[in-house]
Amino acid sequence: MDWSKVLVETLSSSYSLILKITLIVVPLLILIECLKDIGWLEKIASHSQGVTRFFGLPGESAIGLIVGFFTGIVFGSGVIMQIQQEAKMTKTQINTLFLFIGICHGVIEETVVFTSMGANGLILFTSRFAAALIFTFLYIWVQKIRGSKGSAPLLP
Amino acid sequence: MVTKQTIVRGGNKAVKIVVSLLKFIIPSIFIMKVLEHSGLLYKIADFFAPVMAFLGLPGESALVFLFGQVTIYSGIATMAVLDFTAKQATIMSTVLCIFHVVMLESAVIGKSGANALLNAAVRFIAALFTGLVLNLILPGV
Repeated sequence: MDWSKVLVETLSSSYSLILKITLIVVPLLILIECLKDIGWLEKIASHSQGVTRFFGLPGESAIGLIVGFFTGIVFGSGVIMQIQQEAKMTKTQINTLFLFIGICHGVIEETVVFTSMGANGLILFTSRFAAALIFTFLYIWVQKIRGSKGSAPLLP
Repeated sequence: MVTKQTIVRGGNKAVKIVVSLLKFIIPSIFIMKVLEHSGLLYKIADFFAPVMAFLGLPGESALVFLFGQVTIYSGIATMAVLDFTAKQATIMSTVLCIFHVVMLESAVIGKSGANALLNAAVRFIAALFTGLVLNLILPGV
């Protein structure tokens, strides 16, 4: 194996990829911080309480859903833990919330970065969103059936 | 309100990301290059080809899935080394977006009171399902 070739190719590929991602991610993260501070996420959340009702979740959880959806799991779960202290959600509701944002989170950053890697961002986002809806509803549906039969919820 | 702090906070996060990019992208690309030049990559590709074919992906894309469990940028680095068609890049990105860094993310999810195992399992199934469907409905190769 030609080690000098390995090293040169590693350095040149790493350099161009890191440069590319840095140029995309740095402005994007600053933009996301601005959106947080403008209160843009809260604004969307206040319009999203219908969505949470749709999932059988309390209205307070909308901000957790929106933050996780736009920024990512780590920040989203922090917000959800705060919500959980005020609006006690059931295990099923928590699972529902996290199934949705588990599949579909950090959509701004991830969609933009993967588009730069040659993916079709629109298809990527739409199919991810659809998958999150389908599998979240599948879970709710299974829980409903089990609930109506009087059996214990699937995986407590 | 957007203040100077907002920009500083965003900038700090960005610097952290760039440092982690250095830490994860260079080793990932190095490993991929070693695999490529040693010929091992083609053996791995042959091994996974029958499975990945269901998603319309080349066999070596199994490595993207694997590296994507370390950090999402390791997965992206692996993607950058491999050759994908436009359709494959879209499928690969979608699958990786749905199922990545699951060990860490499930731990966070579990700490928040949800069932981490259920979450990880559903994400895995959702990723495969979505990849399968995209492969069937997207035009091209």
